[in-house]
Amino acid sequence: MFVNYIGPALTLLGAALAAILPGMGSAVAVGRVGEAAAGVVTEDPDKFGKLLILQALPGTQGIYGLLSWFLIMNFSGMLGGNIDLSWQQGALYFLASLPITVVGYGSAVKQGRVSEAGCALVAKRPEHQVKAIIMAAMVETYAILALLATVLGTMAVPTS
Amino acid sequence: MKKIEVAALAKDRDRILSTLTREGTVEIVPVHKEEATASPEDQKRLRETIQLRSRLADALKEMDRRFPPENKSLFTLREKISEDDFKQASVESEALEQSLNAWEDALSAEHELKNQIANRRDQQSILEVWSDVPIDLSVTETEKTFVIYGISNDPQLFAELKTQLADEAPETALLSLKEIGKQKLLAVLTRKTDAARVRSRLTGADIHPLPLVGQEGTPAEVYARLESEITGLEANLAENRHTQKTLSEKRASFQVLYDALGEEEAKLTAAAKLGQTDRTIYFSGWIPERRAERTKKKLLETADAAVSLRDPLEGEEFPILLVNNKFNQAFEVILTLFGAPTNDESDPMPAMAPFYMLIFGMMLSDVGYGLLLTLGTAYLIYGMKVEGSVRAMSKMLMLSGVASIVWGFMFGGFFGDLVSVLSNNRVHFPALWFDPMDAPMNLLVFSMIFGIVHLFVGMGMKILNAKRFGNLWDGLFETVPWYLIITGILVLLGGSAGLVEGDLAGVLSNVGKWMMIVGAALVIIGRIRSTSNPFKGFFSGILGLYDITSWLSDILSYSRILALVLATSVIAVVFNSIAGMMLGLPTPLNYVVFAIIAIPTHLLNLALSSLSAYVHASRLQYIEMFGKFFDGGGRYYQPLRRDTKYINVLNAPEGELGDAE
Repeated sequence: MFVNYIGPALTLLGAALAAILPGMGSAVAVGRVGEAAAGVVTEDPDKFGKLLILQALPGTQGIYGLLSWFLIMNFSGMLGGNIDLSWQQGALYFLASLPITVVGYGSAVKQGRVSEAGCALVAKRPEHQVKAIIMAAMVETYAILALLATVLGTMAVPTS
Repeated sequence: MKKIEVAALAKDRDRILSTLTREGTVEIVPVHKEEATASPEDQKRLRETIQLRSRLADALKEMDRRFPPENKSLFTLREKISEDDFKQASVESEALEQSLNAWEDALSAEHELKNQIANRRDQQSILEVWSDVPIDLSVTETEKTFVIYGISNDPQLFAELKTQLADEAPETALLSLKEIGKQKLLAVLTRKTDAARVRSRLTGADIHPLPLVGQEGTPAEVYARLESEITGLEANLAENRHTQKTLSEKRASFQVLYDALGEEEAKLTAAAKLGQTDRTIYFSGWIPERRAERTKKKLLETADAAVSLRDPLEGEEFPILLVNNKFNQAFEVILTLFGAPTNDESDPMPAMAPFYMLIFGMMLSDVGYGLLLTLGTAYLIYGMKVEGSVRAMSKMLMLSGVASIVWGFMFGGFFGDLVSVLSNNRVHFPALWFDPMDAPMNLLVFSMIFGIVHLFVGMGMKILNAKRFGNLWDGLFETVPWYLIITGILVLLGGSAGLVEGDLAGVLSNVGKWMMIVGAALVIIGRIRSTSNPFKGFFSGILGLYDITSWLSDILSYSRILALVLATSVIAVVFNSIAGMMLGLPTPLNYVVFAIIAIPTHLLNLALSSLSAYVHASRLQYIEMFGKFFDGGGRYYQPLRRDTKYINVLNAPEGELGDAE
């Protein structure tokens, strides 16, 4: 029956979006920082290590997205092959996935911009790299809070 | 810190500066307020030193590019040499300068040789199509005529050209020497009087005169001659390469000279900071107390000088040198990357170091990852003996790795759930406390309570600092009310959350309520106390209660501990389950396939999770804890000392100051 698939479909949709959007955001951000970093490396290849850290920073949202995907799939039982979910459960999983889906994307892109600016900082004042890192990490706070909302929300969905 | 003041004879200046550099203990305070001006003679020496040093730097860079050192590692380790060898470098500097000249000459000769070869190759490529034309291309004129050689690519243009020339310069002969498809190799014979017109027609027909090779003989002969010239030049090039190789063996001496010149440069720069008359010099500087007497003695041994030591005056700003035990010292790198405390503030390290270690450990919390991190950094420190900032970071990560192991046991993580996957769920790695995956709320609450303790310690530092500033009461009024309010809220929540039963719950709620009320009252009293107008103070106190929002956001910020614990362990679990699918393969190699997938993915997770833990543990220090007490704005102590890039001079006393970088 078609109706039987609404629950699992909504769950899978929520999980998929949680993996897709933050992952996309991180890809955009890491890509942009990479472009900036490559520019600095042409001038001074020794700064590669410092810049690589800056480039990795906005990549965490993608990881949080995958983490949320895994948790939703795990808690709904879909990872183990269970598709016996009511439409109400599916809707709840979908709603629980929203924080990381939305905030993950936005914060990754913004964090990428801060990291990108950080590359310019490292180019001129490499000794202040940590400050560039912390500034970028300030943005990540909101991705972390969104991740927590998604995790706790997912766990709160009744399983039976 | 002590202030050291020295007066001496001008003739001893260089010797005194050498002693200071070797001791590496004094940060010289410039005598002149404005940009110091060195004497013309010093300026000249400084200019020459900088110039020679940058030439050496270029040469060394080029040598490393052309002849890479054999045992190149990711981390630069400085060569260890003795004091005498180091001094020897300055003595040999003239001979080395000649080698440097030779190296630079060899490079420009190489450039010239390559140009000449390229030039001849160009000529050869022009001659290639003409090779079987038995004509001497260098013959381009007779008494009355010109011969122009060229190639026509377009038969139609060629036909037009023919009719044009028959019309305009009928005495011109167009001889086709060779045809390759549509291409015609031409010799154009024309009278000198018609030459200009013919040339312009040829250009119009897209036939360009062959550039003069300037060598006699048929194209084939010229080609062969060029070839033999190239062979000769290439032999020269090989010889040149050999010269370079021989010179590059001086690399080590160049490096020593580079560093010796660096010391010279530092000394000359420092010299500009001294006060100087015709016959005398004077300077003052900062020196750590425990090194003061020794340096004074050395200075007196070096020259006739008057040296005095004194404590800093009231309000006099001095640079900061952190002095800590070995444990706290390992975490100093976190503070130095942020900034320096001011002169009056207490050193935040003792309060900060244990928390940093615990928070980092919690965020990474995995026995396997912790072990890898500890062993890896221990190898860098004790095996490879890395120096400088890599060493400082490694020390910090090594201790934090130990904390990760401890928390890993608490939360039951060993490369995620590796044990369960490998044993096919028969054995589980035990969690001594609880598994955050099963009870995330517990960890969330614990993270925040841990955060409150962290912030409370930060406030304790504020009281300590206030006492040092001499306004202990201000410090107490700014902190004690919040101790009461926050603890009150916790007690109240504890009472109403049903953690305890019966009457005790009511009692707790009441106690919590009154703690909050007293705390709030104290906030207002504190503000009234510190302002002259009590009404103004009262309202400012009411506004001050809004600080509760900043407390709320600070405490919530610690929830990141839970997020990072989950991130580390869930990603590890994901990688394990991907690799675990390979265990089902019907082949005895399934464990090998498992390892091929599991090892790189776990290393990736270790790198990313450690980076996250480092960044977010630092953030909790910088923003949350430091926000409660740290003023900052001091300046770190930077003594005049040897700052070498390639070599590490033994017997130099710089190491004794500890690893304060």
